Amino acid sequence: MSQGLLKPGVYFMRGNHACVEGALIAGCRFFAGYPITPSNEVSALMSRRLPQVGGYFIQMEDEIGSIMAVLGAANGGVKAMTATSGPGFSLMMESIGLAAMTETPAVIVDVQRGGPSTGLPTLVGQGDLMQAKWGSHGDYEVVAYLPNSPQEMFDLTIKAFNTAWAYRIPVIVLADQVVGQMIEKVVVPPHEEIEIVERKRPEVPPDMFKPFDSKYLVPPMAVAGEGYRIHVTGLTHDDRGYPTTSHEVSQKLVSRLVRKVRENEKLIGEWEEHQTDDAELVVVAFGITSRSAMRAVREAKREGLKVGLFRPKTAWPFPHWALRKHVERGADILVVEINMGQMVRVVKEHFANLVKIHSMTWAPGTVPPPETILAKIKEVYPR
Amino acid sequence: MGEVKLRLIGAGGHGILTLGNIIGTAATVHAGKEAVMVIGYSPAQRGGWSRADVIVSDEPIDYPIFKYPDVLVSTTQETYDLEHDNVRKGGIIIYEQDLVDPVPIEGVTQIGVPAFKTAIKVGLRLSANIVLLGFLNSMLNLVPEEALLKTLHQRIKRKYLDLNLRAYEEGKKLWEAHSRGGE
Repeated sequence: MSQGLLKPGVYFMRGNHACVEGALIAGCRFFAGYPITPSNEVSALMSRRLPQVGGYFIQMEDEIGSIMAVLGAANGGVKAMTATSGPGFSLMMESIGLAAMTETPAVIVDVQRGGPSTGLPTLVGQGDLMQAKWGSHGDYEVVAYLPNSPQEMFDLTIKAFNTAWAYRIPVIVLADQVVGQMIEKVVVPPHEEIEIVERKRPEVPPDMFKPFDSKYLVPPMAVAGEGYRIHVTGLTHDDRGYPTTSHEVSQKLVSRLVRKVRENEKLIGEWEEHQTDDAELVVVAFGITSRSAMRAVREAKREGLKVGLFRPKTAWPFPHWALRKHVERGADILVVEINMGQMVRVVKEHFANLVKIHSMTWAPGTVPPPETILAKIKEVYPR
Repeated sequence: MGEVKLRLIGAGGHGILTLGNIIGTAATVHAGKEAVMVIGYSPAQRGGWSRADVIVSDEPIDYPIFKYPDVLVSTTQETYDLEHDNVRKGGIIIYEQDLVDPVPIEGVTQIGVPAFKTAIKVGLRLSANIVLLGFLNSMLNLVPEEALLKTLHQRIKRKYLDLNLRAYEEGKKLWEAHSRGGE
């Protein structure tokens, strides 16, 4: 079963490559993509590795074709993904909505670079945070992971597949240029210790099967060719998959699409904390920025300040319930991010007027250095 | 050993990234240490430089990016000019002796290594980076030699392995000669 997969062991590996190996172990057997810096190492390695594990790689004409091919593959029963960066991610947005509406599981890796527009192709950014959640029209929910190391490019890509196939939703691995391209130790555990989730298949006979059966929060998924009748459309559809303008159906369908994630946010959401127990100031940072913030927070502690780090590993759902504990203790918050203030909006949405919420914004191109974060910590530290 | 920040920089094709990769692999895979490498390039598609910033440490590494290396290895004049001012006081610069004309820098030890000449003598010009590896590791003891040799055996094509192992030995000898003659 594990033939051709990366063997358990220790590797010195690039983040984007770790993402590929994680995906293959998670069961990915189809990749469609279009070249874009700084995600190219994902496609390049996929093109070599997929044939070795019996999978398929295709370079499409653009990012719209790429995501559509991925959704087609998933509806054909194959675990599939694509990888891109900002401009390509923008092109994929309409079809991410299609994935949500048709409950097609898919993994989209966005190795963020500086934006807006073509921006800084080779340099880091964290400006796609809001786009990951709100980029397509209409109401839906996605899950987005925030790796901060090659190890997490491996681990969280596997989780992305599990989450996508468990909930039948598009899941985004929201990496960044530094994390994607840096090389670091990656530990691959024995494969049997890695949890892999497969889609729930129909248990009823074909004549009783409804592909979007609303008695389930996540309906079992039949795929084309298994003998079950399926109809897949982006139009508002009933339990059988047929288009309708019925408000009752719309109500049931759209609320279920968001409930899949909202009702499971505590199961899906992940975060990590360092020295937050008695922190009077909690620094919130993610991705590569969290590693600079970690250095700053350690230095601040050395200087006698009670400062901790709260690192969301999922942007969406944002683990607000975990951060709330510190808000209830009265800790102030400082959000540091390589954008003009995106995650801080989420923090304010949950905790405005309860504690002081500070924001350190940083234009794309570099990572805010630890010294700069430390200076900001000192500036806003409660006295 | 604690933590060492290395900046390896040279022309594309000088084997800079391979050198960084070998050190990082030896440290993490074969020596139980931590290492991280961040790569940079000049904008040019041809004739540009490439840079590998490598941290080798006994402890987990929080932040992989640094401005001021402890040790700079530079194989061209252009990259030497670009980086020599950034080496921290008390740090070391190793430069390609036949390609770099160094300037005096107070508080920084500078050592010229004839990496290319030595590699050509060995019979494989491309092994200049491995000459530097032998020199660098003998001087700094970044990782146990056994770990480096294991990495070389795994990474280098059989056809070129012997020549590279010789290049490594020659690099070690250059350090030994330097440390005998120098101080």
